[in-house]
Parts: sequence; C-alpha cells; structure tokens
Amino acid sequence: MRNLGLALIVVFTPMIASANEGIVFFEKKIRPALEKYCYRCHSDVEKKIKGNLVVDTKSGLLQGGDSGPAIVPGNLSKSILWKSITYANDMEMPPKKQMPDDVIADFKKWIEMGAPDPRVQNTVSVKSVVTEEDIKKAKKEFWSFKAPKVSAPPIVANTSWLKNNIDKYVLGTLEKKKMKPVNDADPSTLLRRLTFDLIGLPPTPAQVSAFKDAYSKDPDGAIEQALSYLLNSPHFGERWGRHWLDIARYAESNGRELNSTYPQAWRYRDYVIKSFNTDKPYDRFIQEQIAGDLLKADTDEQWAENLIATGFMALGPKTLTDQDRRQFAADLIDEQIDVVTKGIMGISVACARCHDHKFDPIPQADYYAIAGIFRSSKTYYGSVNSLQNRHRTTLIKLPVPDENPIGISLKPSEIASLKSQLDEIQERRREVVSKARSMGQENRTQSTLRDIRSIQRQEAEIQEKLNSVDSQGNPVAFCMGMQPAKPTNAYLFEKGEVGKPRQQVQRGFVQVIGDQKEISTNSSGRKELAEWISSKENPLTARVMVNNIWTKLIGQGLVRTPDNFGSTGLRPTHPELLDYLAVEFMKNNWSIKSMIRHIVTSRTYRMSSTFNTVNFKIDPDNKRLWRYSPKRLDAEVIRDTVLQVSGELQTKPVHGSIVAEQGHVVAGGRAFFRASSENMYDTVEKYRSVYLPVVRDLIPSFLKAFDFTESMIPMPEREKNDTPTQALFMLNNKFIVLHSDLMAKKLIKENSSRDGQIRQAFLLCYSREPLSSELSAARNLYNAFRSSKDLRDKKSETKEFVALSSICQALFSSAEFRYQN
Amino acid sequence: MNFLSNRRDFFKYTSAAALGFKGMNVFAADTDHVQKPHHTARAKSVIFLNMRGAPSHLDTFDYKPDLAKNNGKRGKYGNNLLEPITKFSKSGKSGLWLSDYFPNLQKQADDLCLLKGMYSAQPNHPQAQTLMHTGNFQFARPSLGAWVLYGLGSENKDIPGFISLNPAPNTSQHYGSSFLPTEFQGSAIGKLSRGGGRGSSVTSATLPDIDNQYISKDLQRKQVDFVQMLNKGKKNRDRYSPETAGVAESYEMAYRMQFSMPEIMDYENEKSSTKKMYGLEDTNTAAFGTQLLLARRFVEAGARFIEISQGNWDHHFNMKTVLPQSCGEIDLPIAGLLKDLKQRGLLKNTLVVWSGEFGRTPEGQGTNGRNHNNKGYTSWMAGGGVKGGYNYGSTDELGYEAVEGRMSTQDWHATILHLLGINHEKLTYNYAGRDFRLTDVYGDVAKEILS
Repeated sequence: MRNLGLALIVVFTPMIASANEGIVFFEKKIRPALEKYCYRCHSDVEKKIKGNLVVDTKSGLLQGGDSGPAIVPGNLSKSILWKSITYANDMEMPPKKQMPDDVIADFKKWIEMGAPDPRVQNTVSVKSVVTEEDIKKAKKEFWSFKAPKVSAPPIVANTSWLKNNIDKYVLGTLEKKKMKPVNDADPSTLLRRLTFDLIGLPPTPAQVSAFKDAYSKDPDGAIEQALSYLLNSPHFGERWGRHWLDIARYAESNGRELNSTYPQAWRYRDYVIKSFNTDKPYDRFIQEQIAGDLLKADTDEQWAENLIATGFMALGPKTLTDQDRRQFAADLIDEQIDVVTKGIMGISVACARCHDHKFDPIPQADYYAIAGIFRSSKTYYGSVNSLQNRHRTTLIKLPVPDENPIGISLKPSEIASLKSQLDEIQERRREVVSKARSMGQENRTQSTLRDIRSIQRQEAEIQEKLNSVDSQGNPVAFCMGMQPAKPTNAYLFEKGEVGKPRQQVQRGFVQVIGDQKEISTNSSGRKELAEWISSKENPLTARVMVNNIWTKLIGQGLVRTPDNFGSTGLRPTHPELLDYLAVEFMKNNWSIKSMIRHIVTSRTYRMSSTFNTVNFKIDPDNKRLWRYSPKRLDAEVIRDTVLQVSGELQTKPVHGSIVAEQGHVVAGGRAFFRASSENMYDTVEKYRSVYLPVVRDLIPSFLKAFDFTESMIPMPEREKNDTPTQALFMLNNKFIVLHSDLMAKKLIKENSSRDGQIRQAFLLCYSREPLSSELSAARNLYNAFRSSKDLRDKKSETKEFVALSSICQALFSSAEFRYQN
Repeated sequence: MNFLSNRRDFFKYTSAAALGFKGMNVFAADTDHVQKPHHTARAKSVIFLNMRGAPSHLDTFDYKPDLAKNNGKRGKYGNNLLEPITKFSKSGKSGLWLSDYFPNLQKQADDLCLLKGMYSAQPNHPQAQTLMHTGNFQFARPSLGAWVLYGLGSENKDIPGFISLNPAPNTSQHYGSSFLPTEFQGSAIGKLSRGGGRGSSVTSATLPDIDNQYISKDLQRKQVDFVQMLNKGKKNRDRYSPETAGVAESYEMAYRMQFSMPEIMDYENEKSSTKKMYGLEDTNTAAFGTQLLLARRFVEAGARFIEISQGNWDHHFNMKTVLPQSCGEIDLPIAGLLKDLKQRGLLKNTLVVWSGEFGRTPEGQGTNGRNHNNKGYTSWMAGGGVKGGYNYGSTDELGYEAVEGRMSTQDWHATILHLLGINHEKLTYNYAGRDFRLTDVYGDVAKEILS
C-alpha cells in the first residue's frame, strides 16, 4: 500500500558512524579527488550531469547513472567507478587523463573499506496532505469516482416522442423544467447531419433525394438504411479515427526546438482508422495502445499491429535539445502520464507532478507510482540524426515485411560499399578519439571535438541507411512505440525538480480511481495499468468515452469539460443519462459503432435546430437539449467538402504520408520544404484531410485556419472560431479559387442553363434548392461579373465561367457551408 | 458594472443570451472594441523586443566593476569569473552605465528604465521563454499580448490588435490566446527562418491570403455582398444565430484588412532620413530595423501589442565575437525607434520593453562564453509612463543573483499591465470553473519606476 510508504519517514543516517576513521579518509583523500576529477561533469551544483551520474552525494554514487550503480561498497569488481578510473572499461574516466596512481590506490582502499561517505542528506520524504480518508471519501462521494449505475429513467408524459431510452432521460429533464422539445429536423437536414457526423462528407444530391423519398414513407427505416451504409463506409474510420487522433495528440514531428519528423507515425494513424472501421472494442483498443507490446499475439500481423498501437505513447512533443537527460526522461514520462490520464480518463494526474493535486484527492506519490511504470519501459520514437538532437532513439522493427514499402531499396553492391565506408569511418573515429584523448583537455581544440562529432554523425548516417534495409536490400518496416525495460520504481521529485529525488514510490495506479491491484516486482506494471484503465471497474474510462462520442454527435458534451471529470470540471447536465450510456457501452462489448447507432437513432438527435423563444428564456445554453445545437464543421470536413463538391476528392486512402517519404529531417528546415511544394501541401493534394501531414507548428494552412488542433495535448474538443483569417482564406486562397473554378467547370458541363448551374451549386453545397431571393441575388452577381469592365476583353464563355466560379466561392464562404443545422 | 465583470459575462454567454439580448446586429458597427481601463493608463500600446537566447546582462546593461576586479578568480559554482568583455560608459544626463556595445543607445540613456533585479523561475530557454510570454511554463496559457488585448480591446477594427512579427518556429503559444477567445490571439506576420538573427527579414512577409490576384476589389465587394446576403438569410431563418453573426463580421474585417494591412506594411514612402535612423541602409541592422519601423507604423495605426524577436543571444561560446554582432544588429535600430517615437509624440504612451528570458553567469564557460543564469538579469522599459534614465533593482556585486528591487516574471507582467491601466488582479477570465489571471496568485507592481 502506497500510503504506508508515504507515512514512512526515510532518514539516511551515516552508515558507519563509529568508523570515524573512514570518514576522515574520505574527507582527506576521496572528496578532494572527486571534486578535482569528477565534479566538472557529474555534479548537481554544476548543473552538468553526464551519463545521468552525480557524484556529489552518497546516494548519487550508489544509485549511479545510465550504466548502473557507480559504487558497490566493498566490491571493487562490481563498482563501475573503479573500472572507469582504472581504464578497464569503455568509459575511461576522467577522459582526458587517468588520475595519478596514488589517487587510484586511495579509491581502491576506500571502496574496499565500504565506501564511507558522510555526504548524506538527512532527507525527510515529502509528505502528502492527501489522507487515506480523503481518498476514501472522494471514492464514495464524488460523482465521477463512483461507479456508473443505471437508474430507472424518469416517467414522461409525452411517450409518443420517445424513440429509445436516451429520449426518456432527455425528455424527463425537459418536462421537469416545463420545456417542450422542438420538432424533428427535415429529412435533408437530418441526412446532412448524419453524413457529416459519421463520415465527414456531405451527402450527394442523389442521396438526399433518395433519402427524402424513403423518409416520407418510413422515417425510421430510412435512417436505418442510411446508417447501415454510413457505419460500413471506409470513410467512417477516417472521420472517427481523426477524433481519436485529436485525443492522442497525433503528429508526425516532435515539435518544440529542433522539430524532427516522425516518418513512421502514419502507421499509428492507419492503425487508428482501421480500428474504428473494424469497430475494435474500446477496452481492447486502449490496451493495445498502452501495452500492445506486452499482449499475446496469435500471428505476426497481430503482433505488428499491437506494436504500432504503442506509438500512442511515443508520439508526444519532446524537447530533443534538452541538455539534461534526467529532465528529458522526466518530461517524456510526464507527457505520457498526461495523455493516458487526461486523454483517456479525463483526469489530470500530471497536475500532481510537483505537489499533491490542488483540487482532486491525488497525492503526488500517485503520479510517481505511474511514473515508475513508464520508467520501466523504453520509448522508441527515432528522430533526426543531428548534433543538436541529444535524445535520439532507434525504432521498433516490425515482425512482418512491408508489402508496400516507403523508402529506398539498396542493391547488394550498394550495401557492400556502405559497409566498407562504415568500416573506414569507424577506423577513423577510433584514431581521432584516441588522439584527442592523448592531447589532454587543455590542448584539445574545438575543431578536434567538431571533427569527432562530425565523424560520429557520418557514421550514424551510414549505419541508419544500412539498418533501413534487410540483407536483401529491401526496406525494413519500423514503427514507433514502447518496449519493456527493467522494472524499477520512480523517486518522487520534490516540487517536481529532477535534482531533488526523495522517497521511492512503489509502482501503482491512481488510488482514488477504481480498484487497485498489486504490481509484481518483476513486472513493469504497464499491462496492469492498461487493464486497470480499461476495466469495467474503472469509473471514468467508459464515461469519458461516451461523453466524447456524445460531444461529437450532439455538439456539446453531457460533461462540458470533456478533458476534466475532476472537481474543477463541470458536472454532467444529465448524470443519469451519462451513466446509462456508460453502462450500455460496456455491456455492448465497448462497441463504438453501437454507441453511435444508439445515439443517432434517438429522437434527441433527430430534433431540428429551430429556435424557440420560450425555451431560450429558460435555458439559453441548451443544456437541457430542447433543440439540436448548430455545429461548426471541423477543418477537415470543410476542406473535404470543398473537394467533394468540386468533383476533385480523391477518396482512396493514402499509403504513408508526405512525412514518411522525407525520412528523418528537421521540419521547417530546407530539406523539408524542398521536397514538399512551395506552398502548403493541403492546397495541392486532393486526398482526404486525415492523410495530410501533421507536422507540429507546420500545420497545413487550411486546417490551421479552421481551428485544427496544435497536437500538443489531448484535445477531445476543438476550439471553434470564426476569424478574419478564415475569411481571407475563403476569399483569396489559391486552393479555394482553384476549386471554385473546377466546380464551375463541372457545373457548366453538366447543366446548360445558368439557373440550372446555380441550382446544382446550391444542391451540392447546401443539400437544398436556392430560395427565390437567393437565386435572384446569385443572378445579379453573375450579371455583375458578366458586365464588369474588368472582364471586358474576355470571351463571353470566360465571363460566364468566372461569374459562376465566383458564386461557387461565395457558397464556400457562407456561414451555411460551415455550419451544420 | 465595471468592464471586467461585464466582459467576462459577455464571453461566458457568447453562445447564449448575452449576444442575443444585447440585440447585436450582424451588420451594425461594433462599438465594443475599445475598453475602458481600470485606472488611468500611462501607455496605450506596447512594443516588446524579445531577445531570444538570454543576453548576458553583465556585458550589456548591468555594470559590474567588481566582476572585472575579480577576473579569473574561482566563482561559487566552481568556474572562474569572467570580466565583462567590454567597457561600460556613463551615459546621458542620468549617467546610466551602458555597455560600449551600444554606442547609439547610450545617447538615449535618459529614456531607459533599467530593471536590474529581474529573475526567472526557469533556467532553460524554451520553458523560460514560455514563462515570460504566458506566465506559466507548464500549461498552455494565454500570452501577455492576448491578455492585454482582452483587457483593452482594439483601437482600430481594421487591423489585428496584437501582432507578432517574425515569430520563431514552434512558438505559437507565445502569441496564442489559449482559453481566451481567439479574437485576442496574436497575428503572426512573417516567419523567422530557423536560427533567426541576421538574414531573416520581414520585407517580403505579408499576411497569408491578404491579396486576391484573380478579381478586382470592386467585384470582390459584390461577391462579399452576396455572401452577406446568404448569411443574412440564414440568420433570419435561424432567428438566433450568433455564429452566423460572427462569420458575417469576420468577412467585413477581412475585407477591410485587405486595404489597411498592405498600407501599413508598405513603408517605402518613409523619409530616407527615417529609414536611416532605423538602420535600413546597413545590412547588419536592416532586418531588425525594418521590424521596428513596422512596429511604429502599427502603433500609429492603433495596434495594442507588437512583438519583435531577435535570436542568437545564447552565448555559451565565442561570446567575444558573437555578442558584439548581436548588439550591433539592434543598437542603432532601437535608438532610432526611441528617437522616432519621441519626435512623433508617441513615446509617452507607447511602452517599449526589452528583455531576454534570463541572464548569464558571471563565471565564464571557458574564457569566451557564459552559461545560463536565471537568478539575475536585466530587462528594460522606455516610454509609456516609466521613469527615464533610471536604475531599478540590482544584482549582487558579481551579478549572480537579483538582490534588490527583485522582479519575478509575474511582477514584470503586473507592472506592464499597470502601465496600460490594468489591475492585474482584476483582469480575470473564467475557464474550466475558475478565474484565471496572467499573474496567477502572484505579481507586485514596481511602483518606483512609474514616472
């Protein structure tokens, strides 16, 4: 139990208090030597900590750095420090020149006498103000920490309104407030809503008219028919997968300083799309993403998929230039904790990094309990081979060959040549390094160091090329993700500062959430964490996900702070409905498609967005759902709709991505721009927006203008703004002008009369005919263009084409195009 | 009702009653764009000169004779102290000590208010930059400029009120609005090439899609009128539709910006003496000078907050070569800006702020560089209600730590807001269930520096 650990006050006391002799020896011989030879690179005071080793405290030496404990008291052969100072291993320390023999002899004596070291901090472990009582109480009393429970739906008067259980909860609340729901939406509005919501594209005019016919005979049957088409469309995964990618802060670069591409990220994107298309149970979906590498796989294909899923843990933003490895490691884990807890459970455990959570009963130790789990794993994300990149990793090799590889194949002769280049350069490196070592630090020039680094970089480049192909020279497939490492607990950092490690915290979960399980000492706990999160006993996971689904369909969440189900978040507007949906979700094997079907077949979803003065006065924010709230379309939907109505949309999924073709490069650097186009790719490519490259800080211009996520943190809900930037984009951007032209061209081909062309344009863009006032205004604009002196030299065909194009562009620009009623 | 609670409610109910009941008309002029301050404002606009990479205070604005005396001695972090790499001179009537790397700025010494007791909570660049811009390094928070715009509104509805010229890559948070409505976010104009500093230029930069090469403005106006006709129809049919109103308003602003922005950004007609004053004729100073000139033009046009950044201040090595270069790039243009603002009568209500994210160590990194030092550094302000030729605060005799007149990032923010007439404790925004402030629960105004 972690609480016991918390209550314990760990006090380090000098090991051999009686052995004054040892301390005297340390003070006289060892401390000065450490100061002289080691502190420069291994001291907290100097803020320079190479290899994660600090030698200015006793615990620093015992804990050791990247290579393990520096000292095992009494055991010379197990003490890495001894091997290093005697130049008996690769880490010859100090690197410039060995210590004098007498100093080395002192270290031998000192280690053999048990390494007495008075430099102990009488560290009192950081105590928590969150008590076990607080946690128990919150578990019992706070709404989101209690298990969801179905309560009997309210009895309603107007039973003819009901379509399914959802409506009982909604109508019950409305009737209690003496409100009446508005009428149903008309069929074309409804089909538009369904199609945008489920596949992110508008219905075609033919679909609209067929649906209207069917709806007039049998509304429920018509909806059912549309649903079976939409839920089985491959576009479903592209739409709903993208919602998940927002939560997963999916991007194809690390962002921040030195923005390196992640050329394998797209595999995770495709995995997500496929998971939604196959309706993978949500609990399984989560387990794969957190611990896919630890799950049993029956086939290599399954194994590969599980590995790709863990890309979820690796995709986050990172400061690759950070000079402090401990800081980098801590930040990496922090980001993982954030995406897992906030993204999936709507609770911000990352708030407890520096101190107990200010508002929720989450002691700081809970944070470090999870941190220990992630510390027991290694994250693989690759990143660019560059001098400034201090935290590059390798990638995970996929167990199945890539059928359709992206990347270069090598001929046997090329492989041989690269191998001999590698041998040569390794030889050169050895020479230069040993020369530099013999020079000693004083004489070593900046240029020598630069030489070494440049050779190392060349070596890595060749190595990377060789690694990217198999022995036959075919490209090897890699992915980003996680792999197990040695199970270890994390130290709690006082105030979150990596320089202030305090007590060790047993690996575990957030105590206030769900059932706690023991993590065995030989397990990292990551699989257990995945199981704990996706368990039916977890009170948050199902609630958070159904709330996310609800938000996307209804336009506002039952909990309107979808990323915050804690005490500072808003309370659900319909708590019983939320619980009912959560339980239903779990009962239906966590099926997302079933949940969507359930919501969209309700009367609640079918309501129109008609305004009602009486209801508005009682409930201006539509919290009680007396109508359907109009929704601004997502950036991708707006762009894809423009492409669809202009007849240009390429509906085939894209294999790979522009970023994958580039390999590891610095985004925004010259290499990246050269290979893409002078303009942003979204104005050139005609495929669906979900396949556009998502490079942090270089978000495609169209998507950026319309509030695409910055992909830095889990974003279950995007901002929706209407800005002048968007207006300028619609009025002047090359892409919009081009597609207005293409649409006009198509209209002219398909309709001989002007009015026919205008009508068709309205049908395509709005799924409705123009009103007579709109038709006449469009004619006026058309005529203004035709008679404009600007176009006086043009042929009448050209004038008419430009006029029609201008009408198409105006339709793209209008509020109705981007708002769904 | 004071304006703040008014504004807060305004946004809380954007999706609801407030807009509707206020009878806000889509096509009526927006009369709400200038806000009343809490107290008499000393400054109306801010030009923030962001020195990315943390300039050494010891070689620029914090004169340390004792550091020179102790050159080469072992410092408290175990490295040898490094004397200031250049001389300082007593400048102006006020006699401020300024580095000789700033010969032109020395002549403007009597306008400068040096804040020598600055310190930052963060020792690394990205975090400290984010902290300086948003008051928080960990979470996404609105930037200083966004708060200012939120507090004061815009004076000119034809241009963005908050402009970031040539922001560095990956810094959108520094001019972002986070949870504040996006109308308060900064508009980025131009993009700094990686590395920044010399060679980067805004001369070719414009707002994306500001110009239409396909049809004339007359025809475009007719097209926009048709869009607005469609919008108006929708609004009438929907009866209540703040969203449609928002879209309609955005087109009017966009249409106007097509005229106002290129005009402001076209500085070719400036007098050649003015251009010279900003250093436009010298390749060393042209890039930075151009941005300062644009900043002045935006101030004239009524923009609230303009940020300009200059990179390459991270002088771990080779400082004796690179620092004078960096100073040389900004010295003449900044002196020019101050002179120009003054001669136009703009300096008295324009606050010019110069700062890096932290300072550098008195101990050398080798003998030709300095390491990060967040415990003490210098920022300065000029114009807009601050005392000129004034020293405020100090570091210890070697320049390690701020000891007097200590100013945290929050104190610095509070002071800037105060000069603009905003009480930092009252400038709040309700988000996710609580009232947020730029200064969180901190911040003391440095009253002593007010003129």
